[in-house]
Amino acid sequence: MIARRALREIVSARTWREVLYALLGPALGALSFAATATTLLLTVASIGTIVILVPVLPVFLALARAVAGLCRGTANRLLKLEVAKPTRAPRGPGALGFVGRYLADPVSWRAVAYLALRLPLGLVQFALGVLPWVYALVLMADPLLRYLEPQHYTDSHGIRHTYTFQLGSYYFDSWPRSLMAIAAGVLLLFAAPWLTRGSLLIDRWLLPRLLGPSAASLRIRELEETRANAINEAAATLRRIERNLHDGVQARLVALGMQLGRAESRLEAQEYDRAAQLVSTSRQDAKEIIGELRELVRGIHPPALDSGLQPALHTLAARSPIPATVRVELPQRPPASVETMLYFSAAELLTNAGKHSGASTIALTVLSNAERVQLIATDNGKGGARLDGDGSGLRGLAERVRTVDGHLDVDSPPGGPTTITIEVPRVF
Amino acid sequence: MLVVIAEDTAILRGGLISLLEEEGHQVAAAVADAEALKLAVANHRPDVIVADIRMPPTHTDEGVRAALELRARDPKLPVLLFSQYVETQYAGRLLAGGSAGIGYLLKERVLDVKDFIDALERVAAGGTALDPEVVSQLVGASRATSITDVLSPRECEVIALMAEGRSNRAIAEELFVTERAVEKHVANIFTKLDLPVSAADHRRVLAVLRYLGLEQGK
Repeated sequence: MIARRALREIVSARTWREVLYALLGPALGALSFAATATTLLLTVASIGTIVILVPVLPVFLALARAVAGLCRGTANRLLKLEVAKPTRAPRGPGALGFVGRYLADPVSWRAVAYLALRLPLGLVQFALGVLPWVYALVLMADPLLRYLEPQHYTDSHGIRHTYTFQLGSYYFDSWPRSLMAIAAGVLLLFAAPWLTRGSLLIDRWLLPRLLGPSAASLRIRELEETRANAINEAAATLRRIERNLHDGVQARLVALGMQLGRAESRLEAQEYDRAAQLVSTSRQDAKEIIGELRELVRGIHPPALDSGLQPALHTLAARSPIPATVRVELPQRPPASVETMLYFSAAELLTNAGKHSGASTIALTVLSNAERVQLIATDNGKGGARLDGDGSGLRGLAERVRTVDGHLDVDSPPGGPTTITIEVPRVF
Repeated sequence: MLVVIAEDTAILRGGLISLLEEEGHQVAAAVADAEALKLAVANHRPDVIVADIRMPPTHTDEGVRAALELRARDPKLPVLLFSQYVETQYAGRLLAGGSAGIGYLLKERVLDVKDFIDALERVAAGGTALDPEVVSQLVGASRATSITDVLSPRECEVIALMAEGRSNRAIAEELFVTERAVEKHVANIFTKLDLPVSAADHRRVLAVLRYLGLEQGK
C-alpha cells in the first residue's frame, strides 16, 4: 500500500510542478536578490541624500513589486495557490503623490521583505527539492556509471578496484555493493516527493502573508464591492417605487379626477343619472386606490414591523402563496435595521419559494445569539435552488445581505428539501 | 373634432375616450404606444392628437419623439401632449419648431373638463396650450430672465398667460380686468421687447418665444 502510494507520488503532476518550482527557486532568488539589494541600498543611501534619491526609490519599489508579482504568479500557477494581487494604494496628487504611493504603501515593503528572503529560500528549495532526485537517479545508475565512467584505485594488497562512488574509505566496487547503492537510490527516490514538498513549506506559508493583500485591504475591497451593490440596490428600489407610483396610484388618481370632472360636466348638462353613476364609480375607485397605496406602503416599510419581527412575519406568512409557519425566538428586539432586513429577506424567500419550489409548506425560523441573528427558511419543495441560478432572486438577496456583513447559505439538493439560512450581525 | 389618443395606461385611455365622447368629440382611435399612434394618424387623419409622453417600450420620451416625427411630415398637425411631470427639455424640443398647434399639459389638467376641452380646441385650431407649470419652468430654465426685469409685474402675469396660449379675453377673465386693459399691457410688452410691427399674431408668438427663451437663433 505504502509503496503504491509512494509510486503514485513520484509520478503525480503535483510533484513535478513542485520540482519545477524548486528548480526555478535559485533563478527567482537571484532576481529577487538584485531587486532587493538595489532597493535597500537606495533606502540606506537616501537617508543621507534624501533629495536626490527619494524620487528614484519609488521606481525601484515598483520594480520590486513587479518581481514580487512574478514570484506570486509562478507560485500561483505551479503550486496551485490562490494568492490575490494586493490592491494598489490610491495615488495622491502631484509628484509627491507618486512618491507616497509607493513609499507609504506597506504592500511595497512586504514585497521587499519577501524578496530579501527569496534567495536563501530558493537555494534551500533547490537543495531539498531538486538534488535528491538527481542523487537518487545517479545512485540507481551505479552499475552503468561504473561501466561508462570507471574510477580506479589499488589497495594495499595491490588489488585493483573499479568504482564510481565512495563513502569515506568505503568503495562501491562490487555487484553486492552496487546493489546497496541502487537500494539507497530507490529509497531516496521514494523520499524525494516528500523532501520537495517539505522544502516548499516555508514558501507556502510566506507567500499569502507577504505577497497577498493584507486583511485590511481585503476588507476594503469587500466594503467597496458591497457599498456599490447597496447603492445600486437603493437606486433600483427607488426606480421601482417611482414606476409603481407613476403607473399605479398617480394614474388612477388622474383617472378618478377625470371621472369626477365628467360627473360635474354631466351635472351641468342636467344628466343626473349619468352623473350619479360616475360619482358612484369614482367612490369605488377611490377605495381601490387607497388599497393600492396601502400595498405600496407595505413594500416601503411594513407598518406591522413597528410592533416587532414576530407580528410582521406572521402578517407576511398569512399572505404567503405557500402555507407558512413562523417561529421567532429572540430574547430581545434587534435594531430596526436588522428587523427590516430580515423582514424583506423573508418576504423574498416566500415569494421565491412560491414561484420555484413547488413546495406545499414552508417554515420560517428566527434565532439569535449575542452577536448574530439567523433567519432559516425550510420548504418541502423539489429543491435544486442555486445561488447562481438565473432569475432565482437568491443572488440579489445574498448580495443585499452581504452589504451588512451577513451571509446567505443555500442547502437545496435535487428532490429537496430546501433550507436557506440568512445570518446577519445583531449590529450593522 | 376627430381625435386620436395615445396613452399606455388603460384606465386613463378609457377615461379620455369617455370624456371626449361625452363632450361631443369623436375618437377615431385610442392606442397604447408611439408606433400604433403613427399608424393611427396615417389611417384616420385626425384633427388633433392627444398623446402621453411616457409610453412603452422605454417609458421616457416616446410621445415627444412621435410628435416631432409626425410634425416633421405634417407641420400643421395639432398635438396635445401630456404627462405626469414637466420636463423642460421635452417642451423645448417641441416648441423649437414653433408653438402653433402645440399643447403640453400636466395630466391633472384633464380633471377640469372645460379647461381641457378648451385647450384641446385651441390646439386643434392651431393655437398653443402650455401648462402654467411648463411655462414657469421654461422661464426658470432659460437665461433670458432679463425680459422679466424689463417688464412690470402685471406685464409678467400677462405674458405668462400669453405663453400658456390664452386669448386676450381669457387673460382678462383670469386677471379680473377689462379686455382693453389687457390689450394695453400686450402693446406695452411688444414695445418693451422691441418687436417689429407686423401681423399681431406673429408678434405674439415672438414675444412668447423670447419669454420662454426659445427664440430661434439664440
